Amino acid sequence: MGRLENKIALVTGGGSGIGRGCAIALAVEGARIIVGDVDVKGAAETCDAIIANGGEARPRLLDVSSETYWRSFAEFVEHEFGALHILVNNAGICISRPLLEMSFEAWRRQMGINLDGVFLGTKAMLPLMVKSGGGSVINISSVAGIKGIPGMSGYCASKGGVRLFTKAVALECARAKNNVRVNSIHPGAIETPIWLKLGNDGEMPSLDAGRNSDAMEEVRHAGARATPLGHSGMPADIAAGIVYLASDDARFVTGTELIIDGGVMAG
Amino acid sequence: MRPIDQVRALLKDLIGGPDTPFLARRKQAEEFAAAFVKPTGIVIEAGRLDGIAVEWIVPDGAHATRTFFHLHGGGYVLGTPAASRALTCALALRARCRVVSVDYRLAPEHPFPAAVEDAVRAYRALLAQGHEAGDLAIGGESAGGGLAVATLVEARAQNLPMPSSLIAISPWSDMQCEAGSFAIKADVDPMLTRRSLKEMADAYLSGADPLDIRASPALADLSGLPSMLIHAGSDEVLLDDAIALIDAASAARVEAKLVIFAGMIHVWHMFHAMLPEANEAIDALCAFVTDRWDESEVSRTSIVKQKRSSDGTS
Repeated sequence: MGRLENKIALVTGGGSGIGRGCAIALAVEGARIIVGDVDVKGAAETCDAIIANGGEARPRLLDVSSETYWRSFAEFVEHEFGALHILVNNAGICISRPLLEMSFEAWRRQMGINLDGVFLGTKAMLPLMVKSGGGSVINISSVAGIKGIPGMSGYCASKGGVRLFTKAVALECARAKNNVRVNSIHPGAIETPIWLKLGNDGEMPSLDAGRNSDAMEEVRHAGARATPLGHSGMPADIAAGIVYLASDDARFVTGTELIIDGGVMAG
Repeated sequence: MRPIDQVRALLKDLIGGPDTPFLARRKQAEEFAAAFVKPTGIVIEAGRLDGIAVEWIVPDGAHATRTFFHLHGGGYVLGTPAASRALTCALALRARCRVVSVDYRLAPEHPFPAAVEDAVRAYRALLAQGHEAGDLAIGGESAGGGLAVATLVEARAQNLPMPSSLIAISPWSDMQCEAGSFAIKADVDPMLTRRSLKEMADAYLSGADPLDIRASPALADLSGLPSMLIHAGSDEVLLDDAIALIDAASAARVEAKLVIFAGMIHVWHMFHAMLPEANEAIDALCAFVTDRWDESEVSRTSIVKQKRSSDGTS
């Protein structure tokens, strides 16, 4: 029996990368999964993979930066599933650019998805989670939410915002005794599509780019060089932490930051 | 030689005369599609919406959720999403949105109402994916323009929400083919004649009533449809079909605008690579669709705010 039997989980940005790995890992533990993504096709592929392995999953279009979409999404989840226990606010983009070359528009776009998206998602889904008897909110921040990285001021600002938003809401929920725990996860270099376009225009790359072996090889080397353990991580490494925080094993854990980075933050 | 005359010369090479039978035109449509060079900064991929084959056209930097639902032309008997790429790619690039073009079933193999059924089914599936109706727009050229209206008439009957706008380019909106422009414009239209359209109408209807509002949406009550922009050329036999549509829209108190482009021919937009008037027209369509999307976003946001304050939770 899985650790998440009878649980219902929503994963944003579940159409690729960490979100996809996380959705699959949660399903393996028995949770029923809702995958939200602006890339409906990617979301459907994630769900197909889960269903092919005997799990249950539903894809649905979600623009995390839009309050309108969150409102209909909350209605959809309540109507179709009746409850929600696990919310993984994972959707994110990375626009890497020196400060003086960063347009306000690009800054706002990144903030809209990475930080507004976490705020809007938590706010939209919390009432249903409370109604469902409580649960676990897991916000995907980054090592870039703890330390500065040159050329990534916007990304660092958004992820740093997620880190402290998480702690504040964790305390609010603790005070409200609503049985909702709120934690953040801080991945280091993980092999996902988000890293492949660094240095380009900062747009999210397509899934095909994730299969480009040359680019992937370069990321692997760069990640390995920067990581004390000597190699970059995989989505499954993050998913394991997400499963832990989602499960009752972590019932005494709230407001914490779980760093999964191969030792980057240790030095 | 004026650009429009170059287009006319090209058309003559391409389709022969306006009376060329439609089955012979299918091959020409395929050749036309094969000659199309995809612009850079765009991804085209095949997909399905509730089993209906569609083509997704996604430009770099596309808006996350805004989607244009496209229905191609071809008199219900020919045409494909691929054959309309010159238009759909331009719309996608200039309106910075995704375009989903429906490969609905064609007559005579699949007569009326197959096309309407497929289009409504695909539209319903798009909504079921989570799209806000206000983030959608619908439109098409020629038969696709009429089909866009018919699709919304049928969608409304099924209580589906309406998109934020509709565009109809040189729409074919009445299967009776008896409007005055068939005679008046016969000499200047290089593409279509009453005879060729009647042939296609017969194939599409296959005995069904030409007065059925899903086949001839100009005869429908258009109440509740979104605001629409209709384009027609002054030199096409279908000019009166565009006028019939704007009359129906006005009668139903639907916000609608018809622009007749002087000296232009049936779906001249397709030739924007060589025709300034086509670029002007496509820009106007994109501006219209985008404005309606912007308005829809603002009104949805204010509805959220109003609801909040009436809940007392703001």
